[in-house]
Amino acid sequence: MGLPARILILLAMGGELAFVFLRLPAGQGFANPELARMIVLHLPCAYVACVFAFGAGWQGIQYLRRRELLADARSVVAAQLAALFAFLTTATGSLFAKEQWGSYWNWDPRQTCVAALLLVYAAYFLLRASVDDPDKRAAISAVYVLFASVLTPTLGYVIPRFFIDQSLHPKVASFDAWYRMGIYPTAIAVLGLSVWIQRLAVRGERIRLRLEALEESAA
Amino acid sequence: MSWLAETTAVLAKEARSEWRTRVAAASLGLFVAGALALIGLAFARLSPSPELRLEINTQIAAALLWLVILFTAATGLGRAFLVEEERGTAIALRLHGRPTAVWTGKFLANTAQILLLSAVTAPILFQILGVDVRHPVPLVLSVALGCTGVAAVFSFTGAVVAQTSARGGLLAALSFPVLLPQFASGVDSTLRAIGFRATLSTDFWSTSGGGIVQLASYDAIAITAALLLFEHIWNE
Repeated sequence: MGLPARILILLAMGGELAFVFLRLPAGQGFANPELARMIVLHLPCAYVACVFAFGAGWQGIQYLRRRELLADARSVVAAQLAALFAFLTTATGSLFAKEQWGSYWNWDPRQTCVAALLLVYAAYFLLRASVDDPDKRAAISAVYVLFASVLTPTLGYVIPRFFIDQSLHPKVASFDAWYRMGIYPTAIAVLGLSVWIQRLAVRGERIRLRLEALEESAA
Repeated sequence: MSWLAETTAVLAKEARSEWRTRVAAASLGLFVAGALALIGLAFARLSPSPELRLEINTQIAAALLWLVILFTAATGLGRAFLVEEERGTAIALRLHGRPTAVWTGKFLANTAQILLLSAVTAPILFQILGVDVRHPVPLVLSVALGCTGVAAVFSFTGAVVAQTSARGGLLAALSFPVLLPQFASGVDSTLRAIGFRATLSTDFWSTSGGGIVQLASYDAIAITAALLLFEHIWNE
C-alpha cells in the first residue's frame, strides 16, 4: 500500500474520531443521548467484521480451487480481523445495550448472531491448531470456515432480520445527516485501516512460506 | 453402482455394524437415561406448589429437551467417521464410493439414531415434568426437523474432527456455535407446540409456522453445504 494511501487512511481515522468526540451532537430519543455516539463506532465495526467474514470464506474457496498456501494465509488473516471486529462490535454494543435496554446482554437475534460468529472463529483457530500438516490444515480450515459462514451469519442474521418481528435492534435504522456523516466515512476509514493491517500480515505470511520452502529445498 | 445404491450400501453397513455390537445405541441410551434421571431428581426439589411447579416446568421443558438432544448428539453422532479412521476402514470407504454417497449414508444413519432417541426422550421428559403438549403434530415436526439439522452438522464436523489429532472436545467446540440458530428455532418452535407461547391464537401454524420453516431452511442449507464441501476433506 503506497504512502499517500496510508497517510489518507490515518488522516481519515483521525478526522472521524475528532468528529465523533468533538463535533457529533448527542443522539435524540435514546436513554443516554451522550452515549448514543457509540453507534458511530459500533456500526462500522459490524460492517468491517462482515466484510472480513466473507473475505475469509472467499479465500477459503480460492484455496480449495488453487491449493496455494498463500490463499490459506489470506483466509486466516481475514478470519483474525473478522474475529477482532466481531469482538469490538460486541463490546461497543454491550456498553450501549446496558444504557439503552438495561442489560449488557439481551439475547437479541443480532447480538446472538455476533456471539455465534465469535464462537465460530474461536473454534476455527482451535481446529487449525490441532492439525500439523499445512496442506491438510488449510483444506480443513477452508471447509469449516465455509460451512460455518453459510450457516451462522445467514441464518442468525438474515432470518431474524426478515422473518422475526421481536428484536431490540430497529428493523430499519434511520439516521440524521450528522450521524450519517459519522457512520459511513468511519466505516470506510476503518475498512481502509484493516485492509492495511491485512496486507502487512499477508506480507509476513508470504515471507514465512518462502522461508519454509527454502528450508525444505535445502533439506 | 449408482449413487443411491452406494448410499444404501453405506447405510446398510452402518446398521449392520451397529446391530452387531449395539455399543452406540447402548451408550447413548444410557446417557439419555442418566440425563433424564438427573433432571427428574433436580426438579423434584422445586416448589411444593403443584401449580407453580407446572408453570416452571412448562417454561423450561423445551429448553431441557433440546439440551438433552444436543448433548446426546455430541456424545454419539460425531464418531461415525472417527471409527472408520481408528479401525483402518476409511480407505476402503474412500475406494468404495463417491464422497457424497458416503456422507449421505452416514448422515442418514446418524439421523435415524437421533430421531429414535428423541422419540424416546421427549415423552419421558414431558412425563417427568408433568407437561401437557397442546399441539402434538407440530411438536413431532419441530423435533424431527431439528434433529435432522443436528445430525447433518455433527455428521459433517465429525468428518472434520476425524482428520485432526485433538478429537475429544473439538467436536462440540466446532458444532455448537454453528448449531445456535437451529437450537434457538427448535426451542422456540417446541415451546409453541407445547402451548406456552400460543397466547394470540390456538392455531399453531398461524403463530409458529415460521419456526418450522426456519428449521427446514437450516436443514436444507446444512445438508447442501455438507454435500458440496465434504469431498474436500474426505479426499485429503
